[in-house]
Amino acid sequence: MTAAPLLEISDLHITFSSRHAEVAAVRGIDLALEPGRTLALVGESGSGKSSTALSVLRLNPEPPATYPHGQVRFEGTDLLSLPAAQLRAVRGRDIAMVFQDPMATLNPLRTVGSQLMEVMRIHRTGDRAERRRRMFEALEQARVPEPSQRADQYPHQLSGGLRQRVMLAMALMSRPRLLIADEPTTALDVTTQAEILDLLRTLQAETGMGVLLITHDLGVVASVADSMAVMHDGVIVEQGSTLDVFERPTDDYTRQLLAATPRLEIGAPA
Amino acid sequence: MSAPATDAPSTGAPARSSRRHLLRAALTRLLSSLGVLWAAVTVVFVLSRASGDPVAQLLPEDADPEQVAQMQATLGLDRPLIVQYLDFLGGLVRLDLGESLLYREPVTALILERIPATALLAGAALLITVVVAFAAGSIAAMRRGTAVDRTVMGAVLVGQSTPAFWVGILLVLLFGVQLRLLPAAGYGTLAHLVLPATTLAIFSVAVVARLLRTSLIEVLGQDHVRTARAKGAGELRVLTGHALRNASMPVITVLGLELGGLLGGAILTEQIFTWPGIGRLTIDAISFRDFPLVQGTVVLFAMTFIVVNLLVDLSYAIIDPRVRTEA
Amino acid sequence: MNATALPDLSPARTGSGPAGGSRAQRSRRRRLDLPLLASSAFLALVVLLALVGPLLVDDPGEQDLLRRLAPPGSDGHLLGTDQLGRDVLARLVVGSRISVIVGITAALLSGIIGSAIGILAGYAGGWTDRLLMRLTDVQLAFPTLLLALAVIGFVGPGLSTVIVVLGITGWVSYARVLRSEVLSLRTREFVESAQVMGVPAHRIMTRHMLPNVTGPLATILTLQVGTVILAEAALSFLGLGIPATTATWGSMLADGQLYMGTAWWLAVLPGTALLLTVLSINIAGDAVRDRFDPRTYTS
Repeated sequence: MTAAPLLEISDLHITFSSRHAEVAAVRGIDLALEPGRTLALVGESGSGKSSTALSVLRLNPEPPATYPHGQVRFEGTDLLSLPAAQLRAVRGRDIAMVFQDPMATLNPLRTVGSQLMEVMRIHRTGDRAERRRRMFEALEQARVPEPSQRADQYPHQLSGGLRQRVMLAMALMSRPRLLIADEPTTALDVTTQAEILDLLRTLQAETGMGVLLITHDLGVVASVADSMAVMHDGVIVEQGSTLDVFERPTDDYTRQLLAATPRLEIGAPA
Repeated sequence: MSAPATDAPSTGAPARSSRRHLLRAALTRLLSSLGVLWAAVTVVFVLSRASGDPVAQLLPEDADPEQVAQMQATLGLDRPLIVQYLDFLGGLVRLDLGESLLYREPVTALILERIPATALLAGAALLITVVVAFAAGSIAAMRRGTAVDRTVMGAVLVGQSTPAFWVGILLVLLFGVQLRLLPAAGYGTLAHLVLPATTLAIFSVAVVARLLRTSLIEVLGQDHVRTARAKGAGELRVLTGHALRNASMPVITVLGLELGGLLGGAILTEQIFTWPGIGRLTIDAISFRDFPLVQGTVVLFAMTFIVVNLLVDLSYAIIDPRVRTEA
Repeated sequence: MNATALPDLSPARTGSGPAGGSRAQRSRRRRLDLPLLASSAFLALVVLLALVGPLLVDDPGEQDLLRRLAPPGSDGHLLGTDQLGRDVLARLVVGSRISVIVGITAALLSGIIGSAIGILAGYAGGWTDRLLMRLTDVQLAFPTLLLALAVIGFVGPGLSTVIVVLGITGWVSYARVLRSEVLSLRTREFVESAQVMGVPAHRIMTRHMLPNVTGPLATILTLQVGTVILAEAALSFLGLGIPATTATWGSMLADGQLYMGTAWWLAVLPGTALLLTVLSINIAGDAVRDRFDPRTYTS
């Protein structure tokens, strides 16, 4: 009994046009994500995976980026053809996104708390008291220690791992049904990475939201993803459950990727 | 500025030491400004003494040697340079700038009398600058690359290239003579302020608008703005809640410098509109070779600039929390 | 796909933006830059007029009181005459000579002084640098116009005075830019190699660093010419610049102010000349900046 897909991308094309050239970053891909599951989109830089992730909420800057073909359906509605006002209603509320480098993606001149509460202010939910309450709730959900202190601090006063937790808390504020995470652990060191991935798994279990995870790190994929899609040069070369793809890759490029990942095995030849 | 990527809890800067740090930085800045001020007044002193004999310019060429000597004594120019210098500095500290030859009144009094008018003019021009330039720069940045952007920036460029005094004259012709909407000259009502303030503001508007547009475009491309959009923020909120504050910092510096430019420009504007301020006083003083008065007004301008720049620097701490909390 | 595109008009710094297209993909479709073309043409015209114009027109000082205040298009006077019957066109042409000479000379003078100070400050560092930067603050404490007026007030008006004063007061921009360029270049490899090889400091500064700063230098120089032209016009307008016996655009404006109601062309024409000249300079200056530093290209 498969649930209706939470997110369904069909034949998506993304093209970046500038004065000098036209680059087809994504050349027809199909993806599907079920509610409560995690789908990892893997590839090297330049494969088009980030552009794909950004396209869900139409966050690719529009003068260079165009969508000549394809659909991105969230719970049945094509987001690419939504009018601006309706798309804004979806952003941050039904679908939330976290990015790679929280130092750059959080506003350095505003406190953490004000940025968190802004989500509710934008969507006009609740009064001031409710917002504060929900903010602390989200911070606790993201396992941020000493939340009352954190709320009044500025991003540069927090460590990298903490900042990423704050970003996750911010994403959780409106209880989204889909979370898109674009390289959420790439900027962190290994131990912190593990903690954040742990958190991600816990959050998914607690909230039942779907997760679209973008990464170049197969280790991350193995940790958290139920299914995965391998992207290369604008197309998806292989898709399936994580287990299947890891154990029985059918595509050459996938095999190369897997082979390139260092594995730790006691006594194995180098 | 790389932050630790571990999850080690950061204690955050304790409030007391950051305040101390801020105070120390402010004090250093203040001392530095005093140094610059001293250097500036010394420059004025040197200029006035070194660029030719003031007496020679005041009296006709064939003047009696006795008259010359007498004039020199009156102006205190017959004493050794060091004495003159110390006297000058001493006078400054006491706010005594000598007596005007033209008006036969203490220079300090004359200046104080006119300051309000110039302050009003410069203040109004600054206000116009901030409002118009922020609006124009924001619109151009948000609609970057479109016809709107090109039009706004084109107008701004023309404004920057126009001699302000010419615009003043044209405005007077249009609004004062042809349309009879606003008074052409004089002082007293709000209506009198409109034309001079607008004329004065034109160049500043251009400079600030261009800078804001550039700064905004850069900020609008930064990741945290994208995050705001991802949260569902509309363009106006993105602008006011995120982009403008971050983009304003270089603009604030320039505003401080622009105030200086406005004061300088006031000299011209006051002349055109017969505005009874320091600028006109300065021109009269120079035209009539009123030595002490020229000294006094130039020193005043220098002082104002230095103070303004100091305030601008200090205001950074208020705007950027990173400056404030750096332990 | 006809959804309303949200006006996010700036390139996002995503990890996988457009994969750098190969050179073959980039067809250079350069649109003809009309404003730049027009500006360059106009500036060339002004310079030409400044150089040979006075030889081609009638004597600008020739008064003809019978034909005073003749409007443009009058017999023999393409742009009319002023209150003393002098030919406006001739005076404009002679005025262009003053503007061009003062503009270029003063800008070059500031450039030389400012560059020297900037390079020295950047290269020497330490006390020298700090002292010179304080000097910058002192210079900035005086508005250019005020300083020029003060000096002229003490020394007396004159062409060379104006050039020297405007030349000396404009050094700050150059110094700042050059100092920062030198600071960033100082640690670059080719400089360190030169140092290791024992090349003397002054030679490092001239042979190795100077070529790298021509870009910003050219930009500031171009824009500075415009600033100086406006400043000189302001001084002449106030009657405290070049003596009014020489025709300058500024003094023409001052005269024109008195006859605004009756003889509009006396004020409008020199003003327009100033506007077009400075506008062209600014457009050209922006183009120079874009050419040399694509990072600041914000169109």
